[in-house]
Amino acid sequence: MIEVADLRKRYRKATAVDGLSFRVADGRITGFLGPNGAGKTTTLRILLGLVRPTAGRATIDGKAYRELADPIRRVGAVLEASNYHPKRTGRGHLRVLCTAAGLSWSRADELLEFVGIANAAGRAVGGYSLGMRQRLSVAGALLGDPQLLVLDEPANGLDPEGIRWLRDFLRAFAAGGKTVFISSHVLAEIEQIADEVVIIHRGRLVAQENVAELRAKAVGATRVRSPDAARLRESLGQAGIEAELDGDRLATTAPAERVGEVAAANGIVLHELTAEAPSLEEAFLELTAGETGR
Amino acid sequence: MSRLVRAELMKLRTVRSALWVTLGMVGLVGISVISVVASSGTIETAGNDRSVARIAAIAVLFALLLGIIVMGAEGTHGTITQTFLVAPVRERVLWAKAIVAVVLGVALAAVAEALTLLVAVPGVSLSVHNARYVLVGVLIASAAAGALGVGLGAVYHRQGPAIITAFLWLLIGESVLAIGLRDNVRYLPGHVFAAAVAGTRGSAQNDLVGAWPGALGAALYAGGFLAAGAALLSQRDV
Repeated sequence: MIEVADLRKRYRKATAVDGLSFRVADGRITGFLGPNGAGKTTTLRILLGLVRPTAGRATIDGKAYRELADPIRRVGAVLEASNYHPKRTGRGHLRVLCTAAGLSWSRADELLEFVGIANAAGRAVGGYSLGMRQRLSVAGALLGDPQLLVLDEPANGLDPEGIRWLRDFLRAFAAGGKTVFISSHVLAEIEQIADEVVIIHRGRLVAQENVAELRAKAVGATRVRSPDAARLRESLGQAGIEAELDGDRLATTAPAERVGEVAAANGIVLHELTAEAPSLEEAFLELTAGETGR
Repeated sequence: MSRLVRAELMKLRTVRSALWVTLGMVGLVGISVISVVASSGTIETAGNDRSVARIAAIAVLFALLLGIIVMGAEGTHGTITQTFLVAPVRERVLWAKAIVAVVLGVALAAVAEALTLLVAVPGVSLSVHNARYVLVGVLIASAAAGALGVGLGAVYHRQGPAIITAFLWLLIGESVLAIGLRDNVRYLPGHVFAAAVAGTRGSAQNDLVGAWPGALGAALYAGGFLAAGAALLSQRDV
């Protein structure tokens, strides 16, 4: 289990993490969300022992990362895709890590095959695309067959096929009872794979909830298309419902049933009436917007 | 620790920096010793034997450079992140790098000495016996320079600034300080390393300590820089 307790990190005048506390349970996929600069990367790097906290603790199974007996077999981490020696080959990079971790070199070849870059294994990483480097990062994270994966924006640079591959892989990884803690700004991706999300803003916890519960709290939207959209908007206004007009379309946060009733009562023809379920993105924006300006 | 040492050696094998450093040193030593042989007759004094043998001391500078690269390149390219994820106890990484740099320093010194002897013994009748303390001093100083380079690389965390600082210090820094320090200049790192490879009990001008105090001083400087590097590395955010 990951536990972050009253974590703080100050960089001279800037506070990156400000009293953050949360827990990530084993055997689940937990998304770690927040706007740019919210403190996600700093928190993950503190968890992985790369950055020293100003105060507080971030632990894995109750231990700081550097206290783990064999960290690469417990935790796999995918951080920036730029941390490679440009002249070293992909295979060479993984073999160095295998050697340091006491793993067989054949594990490097297995994983290069698994992440789909075996044909580029002998090329210098400097010639890799961002997507290929991300795949190499995933291969590096999996070397020790860890029980926990920590990923910082792993979808960055991946093409749609790569994103789908990553999504399928993470689902399969978690299906084996393992834990994934993944930060991302691609909320649609997180929504598709995460069981739970931790949302932070300005270094503080905003919410930690099950994705479905969080989505249920957000307000959905009703979309309407009508040849008499302007009159419908006026009628909705008289009923106390605000709506935005865009050509022959209206959007409102009122329930679709209520909009339909107002249209029927005023004899307005509707060509489309759609109730849109609230998305994680909407929930996220509502939560973080409330924090803005603190 | 042996895993980390092997990983560090592998890092050097999988890129060409170490190869270029070695080739650069071989080229410089080769040119220097061939020039001396071409322009000199048979050596007639022990002092001249030592002077010619000191050409191998070029290895000390290249060992320093390689030590800086062993540590500093990881910061420059960001690979230190991956290294610390596998081996989060940073001091162990530093010691592994220091061991590798010491071994490489000795290897560079051995290559430089072999090349010097290969050309100078038949070329100018260099006496290995007369030059023996120089040869031992070059081995010790190169080993210490490698370790010092790792410490300096850890202090700066980037190879570029560390290399520039080291060479500016050697080219300008000690000369400037010599004005104010007078005789005490012999305790500065460049002079201490020079004493280690001099193969004598001290210089006539009193600006160098003896060879053995020089070797000891070089080792102390290496230890000091490693300790400073370890202290900074353990605190640094990467």
